[in-house]
Amino acid sequence: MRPVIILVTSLDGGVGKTTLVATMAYHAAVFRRQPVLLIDADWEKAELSQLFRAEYAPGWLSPFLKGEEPAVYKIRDGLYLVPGYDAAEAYQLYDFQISELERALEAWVENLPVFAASRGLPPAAIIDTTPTLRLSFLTRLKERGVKIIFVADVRALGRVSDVKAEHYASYFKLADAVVVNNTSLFTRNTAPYTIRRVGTVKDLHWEAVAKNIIRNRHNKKTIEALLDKVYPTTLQAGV
Amino acid sequence: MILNLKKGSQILGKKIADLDTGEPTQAAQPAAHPAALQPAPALATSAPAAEPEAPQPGASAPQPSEDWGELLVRLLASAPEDVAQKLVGCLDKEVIIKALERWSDPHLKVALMLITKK
Repeated sequence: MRPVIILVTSLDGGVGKTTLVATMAYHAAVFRRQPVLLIDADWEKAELSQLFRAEYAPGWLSPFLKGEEPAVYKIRDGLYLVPGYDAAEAYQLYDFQISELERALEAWVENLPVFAASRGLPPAAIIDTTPTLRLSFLTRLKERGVKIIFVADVRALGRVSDVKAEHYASYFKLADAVVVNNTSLFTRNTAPYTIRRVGTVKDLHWEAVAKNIIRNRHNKKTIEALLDKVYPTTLQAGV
Repeated sequence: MILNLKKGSQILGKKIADLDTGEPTQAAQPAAHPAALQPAPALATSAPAAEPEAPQPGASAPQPSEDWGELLVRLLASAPEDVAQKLVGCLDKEVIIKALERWSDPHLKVALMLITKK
């Protein structure tokens, strides 16, 4: 079976990619019983690993950086995480060429079916990434069958400049789904997939954050529709 | 170039046979020890991952993944479908059921109940 690989990206930072990944993973694993492997490929911050309170361990870049097997955390039944701490650390320490990191991530996409099957992991992965990945890189991933979710917030709706508008248009064109985050009631119908603003939870733990978002009925519908689009239950495969 | 793309790809592309030669791969036995993983998401520790470079065939102590039931199930699940069918045909049904009973998964339990229902 062809694996499902979903990549979540954005043009601006802080639009809610990591939160969306956690919410999608929660909804898929808990409500839809669809197993998911999460890969924290945000090499700038590794926030997904922090949100899931993963311990420091060799992450997705370690096979390329140190020749080490990456750690895989079992978060709960049907939900696993490959952390990204070492990538974020290496990003600060070394003079990387972006193309190197891109090629490492491409190698993950290429080897994911064997990696998952050999280690008893789900054949479906959601990859959290850093903002502003290059269009050429995203195009290559798309050619490999990766489904791209582009996340934006209300900044995408206000026309800052023609250059910015063109940037957005290029990413929108490439994406399989565009999610506009943090919309108010006023802007709720501005895109096919919108996430409404919700209050902040005290405990910034992935499960609390995800529950808080889908407690809103509109958000729950959005996540459900988004999963139907990129990870339909017909593609489900057990672990 | 800081990253070794060839080496990294080799590690990610390792198959079951390579892993069983001595690497206690972290995710290979997730369902077997769910209780130990609940308080903290700690399926993998840095300890097993610290020595993936030096698999020592023959020198390793028995690992949980060497449980015969798990090995049998993984063999059947990873074999090509026609080979798996032949193997299942050769094996006594009770042996397969015994192998499956070693996993404490509620879904599997119900499936087994259905299979063994008289």
